[in-house]
Amino acid sequence: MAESDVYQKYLDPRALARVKSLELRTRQVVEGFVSGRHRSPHQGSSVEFAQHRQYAQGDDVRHIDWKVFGRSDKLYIKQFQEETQLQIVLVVDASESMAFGSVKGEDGSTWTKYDFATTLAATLAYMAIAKSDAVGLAIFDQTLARYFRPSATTGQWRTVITELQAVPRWNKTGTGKILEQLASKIGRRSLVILLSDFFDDPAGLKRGLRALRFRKHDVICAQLLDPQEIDFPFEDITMFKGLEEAGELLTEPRALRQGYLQVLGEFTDQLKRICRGMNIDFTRFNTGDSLDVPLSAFLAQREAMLARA
Amino acid sequence: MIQTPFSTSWTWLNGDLPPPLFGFVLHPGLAFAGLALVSIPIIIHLLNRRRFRTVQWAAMDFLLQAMRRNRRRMRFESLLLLITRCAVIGLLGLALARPLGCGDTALARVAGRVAGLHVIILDNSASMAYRYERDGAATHLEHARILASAVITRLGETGDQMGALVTAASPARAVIASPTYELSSVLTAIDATPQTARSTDLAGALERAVEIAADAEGLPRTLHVITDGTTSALADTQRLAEAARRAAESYRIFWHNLSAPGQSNQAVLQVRPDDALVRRGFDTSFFAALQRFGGTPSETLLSWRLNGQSVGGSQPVTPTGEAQSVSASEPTLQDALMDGQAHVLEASITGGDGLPLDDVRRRVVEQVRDLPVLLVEGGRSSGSFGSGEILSMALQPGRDAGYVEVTRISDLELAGRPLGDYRAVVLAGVGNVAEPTAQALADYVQGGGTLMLWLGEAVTADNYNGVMLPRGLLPGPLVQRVNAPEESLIGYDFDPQNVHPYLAAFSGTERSGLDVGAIRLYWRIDLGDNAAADVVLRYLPAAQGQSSDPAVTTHRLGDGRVLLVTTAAGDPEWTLLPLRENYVAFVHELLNHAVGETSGGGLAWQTLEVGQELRVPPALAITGEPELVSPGGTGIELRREIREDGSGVWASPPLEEPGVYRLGVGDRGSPVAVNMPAGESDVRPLDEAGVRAALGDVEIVFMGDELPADSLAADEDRADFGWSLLAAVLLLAGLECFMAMRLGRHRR
Repeated sequence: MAESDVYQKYLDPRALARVKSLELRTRQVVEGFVSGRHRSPHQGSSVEFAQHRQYAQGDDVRHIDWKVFGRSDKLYIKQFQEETQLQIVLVVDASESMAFGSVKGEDGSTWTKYDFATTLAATLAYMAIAKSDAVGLAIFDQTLARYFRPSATTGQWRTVITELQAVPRWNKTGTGKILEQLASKIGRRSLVILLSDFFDDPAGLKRGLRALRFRKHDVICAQLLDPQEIDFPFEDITMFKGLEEAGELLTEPRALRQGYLQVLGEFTDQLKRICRGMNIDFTRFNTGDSLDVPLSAFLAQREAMLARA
Repeated sequence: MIQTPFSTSWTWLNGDLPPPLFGFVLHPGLAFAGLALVSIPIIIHLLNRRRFRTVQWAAMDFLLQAMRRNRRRMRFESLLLLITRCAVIGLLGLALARPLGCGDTALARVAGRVAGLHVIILDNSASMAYRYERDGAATHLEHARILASAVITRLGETGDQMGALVTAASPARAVIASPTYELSSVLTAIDATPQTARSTDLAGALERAVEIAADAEGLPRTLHVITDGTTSALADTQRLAEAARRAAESYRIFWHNLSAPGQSNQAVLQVRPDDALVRRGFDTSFFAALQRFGGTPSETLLSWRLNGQSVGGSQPVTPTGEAQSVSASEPTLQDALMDGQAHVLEASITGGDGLPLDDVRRRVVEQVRDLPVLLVEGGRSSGSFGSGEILSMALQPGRDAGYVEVTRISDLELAGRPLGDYRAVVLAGVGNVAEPTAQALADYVQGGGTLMLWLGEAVTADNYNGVMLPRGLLPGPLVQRVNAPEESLIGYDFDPQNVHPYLAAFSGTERSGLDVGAIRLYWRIDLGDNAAADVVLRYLPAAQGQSSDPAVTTHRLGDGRVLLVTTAAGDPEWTLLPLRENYVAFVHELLNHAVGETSGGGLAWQTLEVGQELRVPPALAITGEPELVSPGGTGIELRREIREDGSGVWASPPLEEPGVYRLGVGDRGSPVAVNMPAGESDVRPLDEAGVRAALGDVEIVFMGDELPADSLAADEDRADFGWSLLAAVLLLAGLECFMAMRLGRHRR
């Protein structure tokens, strides 16, 4: 088995669904992802060397460059340029529609969209904190259930894990309003990563995103959809019972499939247009796929932001 | 032609009742089943609506939105699919039901395949063995097989055809009685049809064909009669015309005549002695009846053989169009006959004609030295003069004179007398016959004996009508005694130029004694509609306007024969016939012919025609189980038949092979001669007008040995739309699949 195939099993939703602890699941993802990229998350430094300066009284002796002193008998201290600290706010949709999932784990457990969102959020938080980025968390349904300001401390990751593991209330969605609230709450310019299925009013969503962009935040919209929602593979006559009190429908899915996919496509196109209009990255993820794809996308986005900064 | 919705006349649309479904499809049951099964897709649809799975669904808004947009389209598509699926099943049922349409519509020509029943009547009678006189020529039957095979082979190329086969050799037999689509089996049966030496039963063949037609109601039916159309085949005109009329109602008839106008044949039609009995001491000549049918008379050689040994040389003869009797030129032929033994006498002509089967004819003959006769007298006057005295003297003029050995007894001595010891029993004026005696007489005659009845003064109508008549010993009831007018005698209605075969000896004899009045009294007998009674001689009407009553009759009873003379044997109050010069000859001729025609006397049962069964008469003394061996040496199993009267008779299956069979009975053997039916020798074919007349002027298409090329696809054929509908079903099924995929109604 190739090495790349080995690490893939740590990122496969069907394998991750077996791991009930979000912390363990996150570490598994990180290990798998980093092994795949052949880089250790513990290597490298968060600061970079800038220049030497003659020692002056009061300087921290820990910064004296003893090698230079050995060659020149003069005391120099190393000056470091501190890496620009990025502030990331993970916004996780915890509405009832996120409780839908058709992907089954190897032990039969269900892998929901919310599982995908929380695992992805926890992994991103871990990797961000490891890079000294400040990480904040917002969990919402029709209200902003929880919000934690960005912080780069290691305790912050523990907080994120704990909150994400809490069972949501499974209420209806109110994404636009929540984003407007968040825009006012997040003070410093941040990278806002929105993890949701966006099964909501596009107009409200547009208002919320505009509010975030108005505050100069960079925004990534990650639409998480279950494989069944993407393919609509039903055959026999089915009674669809809507989550979030959306009613029910008895129909012949084979006849409706084309129409459903068309409506879904139109909705996704509308979201893309909204995001493109506000210079927001929009990506749709299949919760049945491996997690390395969104992780790579987010890391690339982070690098791009740092470059701009 | 059966009216169908596809007919061009469309009369049923003009107020007439529509044609019944049974005339429209071959299998109405399947049509009804198809219609009933149309409901299956609807039922499945309704059942599916009640049986569904439930799914919790997040993207409900999209689903509802898609539903709102596509509701009408989905309903239309569902309805379209439902209709298509119902149509597939309905049409499938209809296709399997084989709807038929008239072939004269454009639709039928485009869509329909010709279907129908084709029955072949293959004449395999003896005349079909005719072969033209050239090297390598085939027989008519071989031609017929080729033609029949070609007809059947053609059917497989023209559509869904059923075939059946009837052979016309007597008795006609339906070889394939149920119409079959397995045409190869018909071909096999045609190839296996044997050449027989039997006569033709064309009427029977047509009747069999009509029976077969009943299995193909509604289908176009064609009858191919492949025959040589000879005169003999079309002789039974009344029955044939009726059979042809019924066949024409069921079939379109193609008449394939394989014979040619110039075909000819010469045959030995009969071999016979000139006496009913060949008797020692009486010169008997043997005759062969020869005739030529068609062609120019030419000389041939006639040869005689006795028990397979040539007797004398060949004599040149020239058979003509009229039957001619040629006597054997060898005078010592009778001398070669041994008393009491059966001999096979064979007359043959040299071949050179197209039908060799009838160039030889055989007959089993015997020479009688003693003919034991039991004469029973009903009344005796004083002395020895009784009611049979004169008759006894006529039969046996002296103690050692003649061949008849008379035992004269009184009717009182008849009971318990072993009748089997006598070739004939004569009752002369026996007035009162007891029931057991009558039964014994009936058993005797049934077993092959001859009973000669002379009436007279002592006879009473009550006794004879009550005892003899029910047992078949009288041809009809005795009605009354008829007296000749005063001072006159009743004469016989005798024409020397037109005599009964029993009186052939008096043919052309002017002073026979039968041509003058001799009868004073006789019993009138009412023959009614008894067709079996053969009147040998009649009286002249006693007065003008009166009927001509039977004087002498004969009829068959079982294997024996009864001969009735309605006057007395020698009572001068009744008859003066004994005074006439030919009285002796008269009674001998009657006796000889009666005895000669019985199985116990003349060995007639040992001379048969092909197709007849051999029935060994009970009178024949058999010490073991009889065995029959064919001319080819093959053993033929005999079966034991028990008659109603409890007596048994050994019988063979119909004998197929002409020639001499050997019947073994215990330690003795006896020959059985089997000949081709003489009627088959006339190979002259009837012309079209003759055939049409013989068949009752029904509609016939006359053909030779060519196939009815145009006729098979004639307009009258109704086309079978079954295959076209089946193709439509397949197309619809394909359309359904396409629509299901296109409309998202299929399983991925």
